Amino acid sequence: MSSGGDMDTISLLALLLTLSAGFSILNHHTLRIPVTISVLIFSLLTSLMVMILNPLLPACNLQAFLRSVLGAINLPAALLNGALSLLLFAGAMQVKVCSTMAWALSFSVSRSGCQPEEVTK
Amino acid sequence: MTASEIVLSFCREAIGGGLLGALTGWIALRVLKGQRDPHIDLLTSLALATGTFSIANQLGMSGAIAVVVAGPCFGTSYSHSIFDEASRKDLDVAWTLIDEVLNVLLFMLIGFEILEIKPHVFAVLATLAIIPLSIVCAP
Repeated sequence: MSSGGDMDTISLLALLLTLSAGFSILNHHTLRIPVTISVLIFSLLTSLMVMILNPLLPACNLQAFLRSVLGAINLPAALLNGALSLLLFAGAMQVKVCSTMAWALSFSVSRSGCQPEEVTK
Repeated sequence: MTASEIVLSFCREAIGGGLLGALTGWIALRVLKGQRDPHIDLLTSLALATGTFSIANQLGMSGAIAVVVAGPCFGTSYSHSIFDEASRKDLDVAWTLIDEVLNVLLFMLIGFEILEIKPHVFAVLATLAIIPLSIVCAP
């Protein structure tokens, strides 16, 4: 079995996306809870199973393979330098500046430039 | 490290990052003015998010603050004159999808990270302490 260190980027991405798609389909058929939570639970269960199965199957050494995949992804760097920018932008883009300003101003000023229906959105 | 250095570093990180985000957001809105193609809108917003983050990191500013300031530029009343309803909806759908997919990938990686953790009494105790703390702190 090849180690994860020499997998190329597209293979890593394919592995991750396939696993997450499988977990979310599994969630849809069994638990029906929000996808992020179920994916976390299923990946925790999978890692626990790998930890238990690893001593029984020393030939294929799954744990070392997964560890080298994780080392290749390097979660802290990927999270802080890559995904965080997109996640923060996606969250910030949904903010309606006008209604936020109206909410902030409502403590001091009774009138604001926003329409009332925009405030209630 | 003196107090003035700390204040200067804070100003550079926070205020500099905020100004950079506002500047890049304004430039993106100016670029998008005068065209009605939702694909160009999406490409520009992707470029804005990643570009602002890496420029801020290169200049020693906080990329997170810069992106958080640049994002709401797309929610101002000025931007409503630039995007029509259809492209605004496309943009929202695309960014919701990106958000969702990245969240799922990150949570799955967090689940697999348990393989990297060496079992240790202190780590187990700290993990157990988190649960009551998060229940107490929840609003």
